[in-house]
Amino acid sequence: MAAAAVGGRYMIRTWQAFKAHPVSKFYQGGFQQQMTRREAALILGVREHDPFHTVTAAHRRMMVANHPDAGGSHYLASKINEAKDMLAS
Amino acid sequence: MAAKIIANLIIMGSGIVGRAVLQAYRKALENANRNGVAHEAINNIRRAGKTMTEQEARQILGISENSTWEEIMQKYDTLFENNAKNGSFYLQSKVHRAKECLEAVYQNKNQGTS
Repeated sequence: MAAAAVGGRYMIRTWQAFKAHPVSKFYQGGFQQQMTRREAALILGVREHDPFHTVTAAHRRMMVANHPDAGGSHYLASKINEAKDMLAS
Repeated sequence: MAAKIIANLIIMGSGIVGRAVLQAYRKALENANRNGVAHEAINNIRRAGKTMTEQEARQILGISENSTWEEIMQKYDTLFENNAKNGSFYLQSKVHRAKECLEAVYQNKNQGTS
């Protein structure tokens, strides 16, 4: 009975904390020196084993958002391309 | 009666398993040290680290050595917006960290001259 109460209070607290602080806490640091599949998946916003069409669609979307001619940077564009090459091979 | 036997067995079993785990861990460390894999891993972690270099920050935002803070903020706003709408959170974070890093640099510069 007491355990249920304690458990319930814990759940309520975590839920409140979850709502109070935005889940989005920015990733730390720069890009990794050697790109890994995991980082590539994070860059494109897909999962590591997503199918080819998902990866290419995500890649296209990212390039549109980060195109060098439209305010993006070449560095980011190259990272996005590298990520796509790693995942969609 | 049976409970005592079972309890003994469990304790002995966990002892044996624990010792085996320790031995395996030590062996793995030995192997890693011999191959130099551990050193590489440690170096990679330390190098990648939790901080961004100024050069990388400039590359991410696409600015040059002598850009003004306004230019940086412009680039940052564009990139942040675009990635928030149509990009990944990871890239957004990188853009944010790049701006943070350059903020520190420019604060120092301002303090130095003024």
